[in-house]
Amino acid sequence: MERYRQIISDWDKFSYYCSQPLPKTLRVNTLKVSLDMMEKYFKKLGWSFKRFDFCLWGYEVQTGDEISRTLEHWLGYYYIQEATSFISVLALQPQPGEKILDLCAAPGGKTTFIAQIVNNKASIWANDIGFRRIRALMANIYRMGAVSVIVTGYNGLSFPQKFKFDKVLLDAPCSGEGNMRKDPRRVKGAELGFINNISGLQKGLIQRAIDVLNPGGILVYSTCTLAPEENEMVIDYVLRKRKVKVEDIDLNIPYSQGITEWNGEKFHPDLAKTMRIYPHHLNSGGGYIARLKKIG
Amino acid sequence: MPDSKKLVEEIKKYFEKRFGLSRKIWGHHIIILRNEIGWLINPQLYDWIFNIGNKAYSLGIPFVRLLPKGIKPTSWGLIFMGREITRNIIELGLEDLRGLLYRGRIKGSRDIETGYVALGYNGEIIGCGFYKDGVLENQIPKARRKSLLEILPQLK
Repeated sequence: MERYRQIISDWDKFSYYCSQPLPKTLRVNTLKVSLDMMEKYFKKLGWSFKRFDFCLWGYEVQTGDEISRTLEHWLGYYYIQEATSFISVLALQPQPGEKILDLCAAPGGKTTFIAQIVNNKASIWANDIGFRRIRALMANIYRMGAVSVIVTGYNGLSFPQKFKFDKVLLDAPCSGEGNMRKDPRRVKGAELGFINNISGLQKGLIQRAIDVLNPGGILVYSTCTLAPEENEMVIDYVLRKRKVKVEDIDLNIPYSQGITEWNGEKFHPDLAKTMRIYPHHLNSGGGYIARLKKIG
Repeated sequence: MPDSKKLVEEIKKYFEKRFGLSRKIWGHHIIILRNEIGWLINPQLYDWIFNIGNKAYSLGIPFVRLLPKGIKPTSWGLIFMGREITRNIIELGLEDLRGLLYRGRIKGSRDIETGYVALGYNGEIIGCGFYKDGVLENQIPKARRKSLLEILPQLK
């Protein structure tokens, strides 16, 4: 992570939070249970809880229990989800009636959150590759009661262009550096060779994601890594390759602006509208979010 | 495949009669038949499904399986309907639930007609069972049964 010292202004705070355990956080699934009822369950389970400032459905809970081992979790009343992973879905602003694609959807936390926000009243397409990933995705869709979702197994790079969407979420496969609090091996950062390889895949995926958008459609690109090669450099690349513009993300949360320069290379100035989330912002993992609009 | 409209109507009638589901449910959800499964979807998905053909792994949630011997409700479907189910619920105590999950069946005469039942625990619908001649059989799929067994020690 040392290579990010130059772009993370509050380095000491960042380092401190990276060394701390992650809080237990979850999303209450209002497709199945009301917030009031869930808060009663929390009390019954003996958990203390605090609602997120930025999202009605997000909670941090304090308990010695393993929060995945309850009947309420098994029934789909909540989904264990990190604060950072709420942001990309909130940035997408899904609306009832829209056609929405989640291109790399497994294991389904973001897909089922979209279904929840639109109260199962949109057409949501969840796509991923690999039998295990798709199996996990389907199990979570069924558990959360997301009847507005279909699942396919296309390679994202060749997702059929005959289908068009109002919104696309591309939570891209990445080096996962932002998961350093879940997996301490990630604290040292990913290998540069791996980062450069996966950056190529991300550039391919984002182009296909834009190609399946309707004109005026919205793409949210997100990762759980800090590497500029997988974040700003992917967006800068696609701004040159496709007719899209970067949009502001209208969320009231602490964050750092996307960078516009890295290792002497200058990027499009609009990259400052993108978001870097560091562990000290939301007491979470790290990540990156950009919202793009397809022009014309 | 029998006429699909007729079969969908049969499924709705079955749920109405066997589980007391209100007809109003079908104003918000529709059933589509594909690969011997009746899938429960929201009406917005309907147009897409015909364009996708057989490429989809999953449509909404699997609601019933279409077996040669008839309609079998899925545990996912019964859990989804949850509190809408008013008939043929077998409420289990912890010991009965443990026995059912470990052994696959438990004995105990109940005033219930032979057929599929909704398994209840602590006021929640937790899946599908089959009741016949004083024997209740588990119909919760293997992976779900396993994960329920894992949380069993935490249940009170």
